[in-house]
Amino acid sequence: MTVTVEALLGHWVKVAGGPRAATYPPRIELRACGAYLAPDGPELGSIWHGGSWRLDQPETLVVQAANDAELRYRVVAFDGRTVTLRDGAGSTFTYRRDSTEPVP
Amino acid sequence: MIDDFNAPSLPEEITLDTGTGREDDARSVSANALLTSPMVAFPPFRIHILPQGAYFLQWRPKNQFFLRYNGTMRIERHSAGVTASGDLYSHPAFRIQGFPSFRLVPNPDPSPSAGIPIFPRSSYRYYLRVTQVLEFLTFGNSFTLGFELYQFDSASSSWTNQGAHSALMQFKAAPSGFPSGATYLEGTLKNPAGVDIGMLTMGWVSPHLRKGTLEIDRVSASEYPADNGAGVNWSTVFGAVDWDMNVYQSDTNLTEPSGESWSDAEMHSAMLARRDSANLDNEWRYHLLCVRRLDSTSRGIMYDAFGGDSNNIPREGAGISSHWMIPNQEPWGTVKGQRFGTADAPYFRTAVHEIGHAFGLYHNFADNGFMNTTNTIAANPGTFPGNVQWSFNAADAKRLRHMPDPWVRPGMIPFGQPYGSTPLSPTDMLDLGGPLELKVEPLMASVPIGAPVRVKLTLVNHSDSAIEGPHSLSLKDECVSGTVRDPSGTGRSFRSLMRCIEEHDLRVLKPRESISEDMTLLRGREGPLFNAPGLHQIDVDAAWEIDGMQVRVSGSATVMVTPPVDQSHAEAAQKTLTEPDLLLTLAIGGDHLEEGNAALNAAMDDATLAPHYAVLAAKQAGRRFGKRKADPKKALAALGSTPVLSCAEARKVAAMLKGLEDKDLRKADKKLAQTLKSAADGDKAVTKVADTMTA
Repeated sequence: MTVTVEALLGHWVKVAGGPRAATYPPRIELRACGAYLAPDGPELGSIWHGGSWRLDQPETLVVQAANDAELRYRVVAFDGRTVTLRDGAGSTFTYRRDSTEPVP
Repeated sequence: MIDDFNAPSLPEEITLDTGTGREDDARSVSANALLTSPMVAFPPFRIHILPQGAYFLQWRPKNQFFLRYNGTMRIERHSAGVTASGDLYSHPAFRIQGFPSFRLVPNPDPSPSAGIPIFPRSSYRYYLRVTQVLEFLTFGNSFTLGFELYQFDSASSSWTNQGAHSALMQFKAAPSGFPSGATYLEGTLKNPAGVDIGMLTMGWVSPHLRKGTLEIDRVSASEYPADNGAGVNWSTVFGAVDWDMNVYQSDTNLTEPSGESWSDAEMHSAMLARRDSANLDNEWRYHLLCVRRLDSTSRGIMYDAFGGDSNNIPREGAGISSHWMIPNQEPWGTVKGQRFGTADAPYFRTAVHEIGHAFGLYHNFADNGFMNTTNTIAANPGTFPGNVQWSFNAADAKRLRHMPDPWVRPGMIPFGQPYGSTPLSPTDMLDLGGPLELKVEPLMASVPIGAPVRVKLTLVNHSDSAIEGPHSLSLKDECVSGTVRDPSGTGRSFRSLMRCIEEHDLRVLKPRESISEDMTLLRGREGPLFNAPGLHQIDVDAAWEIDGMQVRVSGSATVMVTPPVDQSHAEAAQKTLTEPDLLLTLAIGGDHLEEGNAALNAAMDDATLAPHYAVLAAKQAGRRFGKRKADPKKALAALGSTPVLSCAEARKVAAMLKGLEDKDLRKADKKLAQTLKSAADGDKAVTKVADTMTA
């Protein structure tokens, strides 16, 4: 399934990833205005806290990190309900859409 | 006991004013007072407060001659009281002097006259999470300082709570070396087991809480981020969080290593090569690079984190780009289409934001303050950058003031640790000391909904010194105010209904003396104070000034409000709770207050509320208004048999009924006599009226 901005909007929870994926927060919300929020980020010391996000081609998610660096993640799998990303160090991790939250 | 006949020869009789205005009182104390009472310190009163600022803090462990701990205690005064925190570094009392002599020489403590001391990072040992401190002022000479002592493990950047420690800190004259007149204290430090573990001292050295240096270097094509173009600059930004920050521009002609865009590594190298000083053990130095563009982001980055920290000394520097083009579209407001470096406001904001990351601050979306992101603020309501909040969010400001040194200073805890992993002093302190006590005593533990709550306030001087206190605790005198919190936690405030034109002098509260006042609470600014069944908390403040210094004493109590017992009660309560003029009827009375009087009548028609409003109804009838004469018989009838009334109200009732003939008084219900006597607590005038009723 092609990953699009519209298809990524909403709330996601982390469901898989190796030890290095611990740096990514358990929850993230991608908003239509280009902002994202990871409410647990500061308390957990995650690399994502909140800021801007966008989708670059080909299928690259760009997320503003806690220190304002724009980090690029390759979308390696996407089926509308789950998205698997690979970071610059080669670690992969998966988020699943949070079905308890409304899709914007 | 010493009486006038056996007392030694005294000087001419001195009449002491006991405040009662009664001559016999004055005479009766004149002989004994000088012989049996402690000397009254009148004036000057010794008042001690903890001024805001940084204090040089030292702990000399017991039985350890060679080791002491030096650091700072930060005292921040704000509207809620005081927040305090401290850090301690190990400081050997001696050091080894090197070649050729290799001998021990004294290792002097930092000079207090130099202001906020800076210590080597490797010497850091403890954070003091202060939980108890002098919040307002004391007329005594000491207070208890309480804190949790957290030991720092630099290898893991983790903390271990060593438990609650305390010291009874005594105000003393500062030793030489401290600023003139500096506040200085000493106390014995006790560990959680109460064991003496040495001496703790703290002396004021600076009005600021922290200090540092920000060096800004730039390529020639990039602007220097001086201010927001509207009066906010580095000085105001750091002044607002009590930092003494030396911000200056150094190099203005950096060479671009590989074109106009810089990588994180290139910025880090430039910082190491071009900064004016690198000794982070002598100063807290931060570095900001202004370049044309950045490889890894659009506007700014604190590159000295995660993989960008190539020398493993975190949070030394950040960079901003001057040549990013602000998109020429919404939501970029009045700066759309501009080159970033020419848009003063967002350019300066980004510079502050990135240095905020160097202090260890993370993004904060609670408001449009410095640590929110530019994209988010631009998308928030309002026109960017007019909607920027030119301050740190309150939680971030607190972190800047009170997070442990390793979190904030460059070169210690890496960026990205969880906030929750680090101790932080609470904002509200617990102040158990102080010679003054304000007692708040509700007349009844529970009242039915719709009834006013009667409370007795007593201000007690527990000390051995005379203290200037308020003229009275009456709500009319404006020194008393408070809040009632309902079961949901919602607070509603109350204070004087009317502004008192007369200014009252303070009165002297002698040692162990107290003053009391009864007050009746019904409504405040936000409406009825007791508007729902359940437990309510009444917090009362008495505040006054002594020689320009604010004194405040607080007390609290709870009262239970019970639900309606029947339909009649519910309807009457609804009227008393929703009629604002009932408060005026209570306070000043008068036939002209038709709505207030209607609510009063509704309460008097209900069996549950009537006793609580009986005195009010009696006062209405017992006072003259316009052409209507006072009617004490009607007032007596309105009282019923068991009115709820305070001591002050009982005295007013007795005065009101004084004009009645004995035969009319004897028609009153006998229970009323008992009620009046119980309320009046021995008052002679009330007792006389009550006795006539039962004669």
